[in-house]
Amino acid sequence: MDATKAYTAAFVLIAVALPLISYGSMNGAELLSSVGLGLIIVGGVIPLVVRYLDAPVTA
Amino acid sequence: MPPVDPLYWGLAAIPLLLLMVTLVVFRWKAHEAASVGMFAAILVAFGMYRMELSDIAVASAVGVWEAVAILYIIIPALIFYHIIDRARGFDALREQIKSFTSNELFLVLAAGWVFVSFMQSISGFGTPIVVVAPILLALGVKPVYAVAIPLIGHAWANTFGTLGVAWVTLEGIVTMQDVLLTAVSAGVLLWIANVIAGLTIAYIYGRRKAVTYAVPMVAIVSLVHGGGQLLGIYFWEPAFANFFAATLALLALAPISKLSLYASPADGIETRPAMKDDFTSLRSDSPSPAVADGGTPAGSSDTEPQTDGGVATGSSVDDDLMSLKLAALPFGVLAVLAFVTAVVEPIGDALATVELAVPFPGVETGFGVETGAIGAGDGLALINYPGMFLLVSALVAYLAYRYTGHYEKTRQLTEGEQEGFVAVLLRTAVPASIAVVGFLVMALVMDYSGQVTVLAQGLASVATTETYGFLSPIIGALGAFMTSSNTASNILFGALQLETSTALGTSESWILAGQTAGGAIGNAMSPANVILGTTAVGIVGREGDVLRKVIPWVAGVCAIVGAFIVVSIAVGFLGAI
Repeated sequence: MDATKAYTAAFVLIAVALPLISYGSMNGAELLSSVGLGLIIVGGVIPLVVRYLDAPVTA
Repeated sequence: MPPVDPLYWGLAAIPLLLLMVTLVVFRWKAHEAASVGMFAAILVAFGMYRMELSDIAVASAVGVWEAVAILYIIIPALIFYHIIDRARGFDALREQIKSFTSNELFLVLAAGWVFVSFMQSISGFGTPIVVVAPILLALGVKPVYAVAIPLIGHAWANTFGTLGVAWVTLEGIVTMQDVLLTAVSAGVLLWIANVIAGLTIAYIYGRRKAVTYAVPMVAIVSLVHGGGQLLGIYFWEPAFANFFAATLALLALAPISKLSLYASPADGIETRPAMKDDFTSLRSDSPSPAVADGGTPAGSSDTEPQTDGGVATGSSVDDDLMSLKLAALPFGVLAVLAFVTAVVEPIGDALATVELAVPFPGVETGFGVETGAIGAGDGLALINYPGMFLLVSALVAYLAYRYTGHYEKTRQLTEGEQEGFVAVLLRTAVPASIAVVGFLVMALVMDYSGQVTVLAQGLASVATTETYGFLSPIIGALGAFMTSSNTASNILFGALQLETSTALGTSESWILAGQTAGGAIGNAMSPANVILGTTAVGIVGREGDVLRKVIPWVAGVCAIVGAFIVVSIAVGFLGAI
C-alpha cells in the first residue's frame, strides 16, 4: 500500500468533514454532521490500517 | 459536572495513557498513536461522559479547526526550510558560524537556548522550534536531539514570550489580588526552568564534563535571561519582559564567544552523545543533514546519514556557499515581520482584520458540561500570523537565492537528482498533519466532554493546603500537553487553580505562578510542537524518541518548581499572598 496516498486520502476526508459539520451543526442538518463525524472516523482509522498492512508478516 | 471520583478520573486518563504508551513505549508513529488517543477519547465521551454523537461531531470538528491553525505554521515552515536548504543555506550558516568560534558546545547553547528563546520572545506557536531545529541539525546535532534541545531551551520563554500573550491571558481570565506579585513569582519560577534548561542542554551535549565546562556561560546567560525578565516585569511591562531579556542575551553572545573558554574548541569532553560527527570535520562535503525521508525506522541510528529530498550532498567547493548575510536573510526577515506586527499596533491590527472563521454551536453534555459557541470573532488571522511571516520570508529568500544563482549551483552539484519540491512536502507534511489533527480532536473531545476538567479537579482534590503548590505546575503542564499552548492551558485551568487555592487557603500568587510556569514547561512536550520539530528535521514518525528525551525533563523541572512553590509558601517568600 502506498502510505503517502493513503495518508493523503485520510487528510482529505478529515478536511471535508470540517465544513460539513460546521454547516450541519449550525443549520440543524444532522445528517451532514453525522457524515462529517463518519469521515473523521474513517480518516482516523486509515493510519492504523496502514500500520497493520505495513507490518512485517511473521511465519 | 461528571463525578470527580476514581472511576471517572481513570476513564479520563485512558486516552492520555494510550497515547503515551503507543507513542513512547511502543514507539508508534505520531499519526498512528494520535488515532488511538482520538478513538479512546470519543469512546469515553460517548460511553461514560454522556456526550451525544452530534456533540462529539462538533467537538471533533473544532479539533480539526484548531489543527488548521497549527498546519498553517507546519506547511509554511516546511516550505521555508526547503527554500533555504535547496540553496545550501544551512550548510552556509554552519560554515559561517564556525568562523566566529569552533566551540560546538557554545554554538549548541547559543542556538538551542539563546536564539530559540529570542525567537519565542517575538513569535510563538512553535515557530522557534521549526526555525532552530534545522540549524542545530546543520551544526551536527543528531536529529532527535536537534528537536529535543530547542523544545527544552525555549520552554521558559513561553509565559512572557510572544509579547506576553500567555501572561496577559491569565491576567484577563482571573482576578488576581496582586498582579505584580504573581508576575514576579512566575518570573522566579521560570528563571529556575531557564537555568535547568541551560544545564540540561550542556548535559545532553557532553554529559557532566560539558556541564562543568558550560557553567560560566549558563550563569551569565541565565542571569541575563531570568534576571532580565524579572527586571522587565518589575520595572517595565510583563508583556515586553521576555523580549527585553532574550534580546540582551542574544547580544551577550558576542562577548561570551570572546572568552578564552569558548573561543576555541572545548577540551576534555570525550563523550558527545548529541553530536553526529566531529564538528571540526563537518564540512560541506559531508552528507547533508537536511530533511530525511520521514519514514526513518524508529530504531535506526541517529548517526546514519540523513537522506534528504535530494538536496546537495556532495560538494567540496566551499566557495559555492553563500555569505552569512545571505544565509541569515530569511531569519532576519522573519524576525522583523514578527516584531513589527507585534509591536506596531496599527500595522498588526490592520493585518489582523483578514480572518478565516468557521462557526460552531455551543454544546452541553448530559452531565451539564457547557462549552460556548465559536463564531466570527474566533477566526484565524490569515496575514498577521507566523505562517504568513514564514511564507513571506521564504519568498524573499527564494528570490534572493535565485537571483544570486545558488539554486543553479546546487542543481549542478546534485546533477538533477533532487526529489521534487511538492513530493517532499507531501511526504513529510501529510503524516504530520494527520497526527496534529488526531491530537487536537482527542484534546477537544476530552475538553468538551469534561474529561480534562475531571483530570485536573481529581488532582486538585487529593491536595492539601501544604501540598497543592506541588501540583499546580503539573496541572499547568497537563493543560499545555493537551492544548500545545501555555495560553490555552491558562485559559483551561487558570480559574480552577485560583478557586482551589482560595478553597484551600493557600497562596494565590504562587499557585497561579505555578500554573503558568507549568504551562510553559509542559509546552516542551506538547505533541504539536514535537511534530513541528520532527517535520522540520525530517524524522516524522520518531516523535516517541523525542518525547523520551523531553518528558523526563518536564517531569523533573515540574517537580523542582513544585517543591520550590511549597517551600516558598511555607516560609512566606515574596509575601506568599
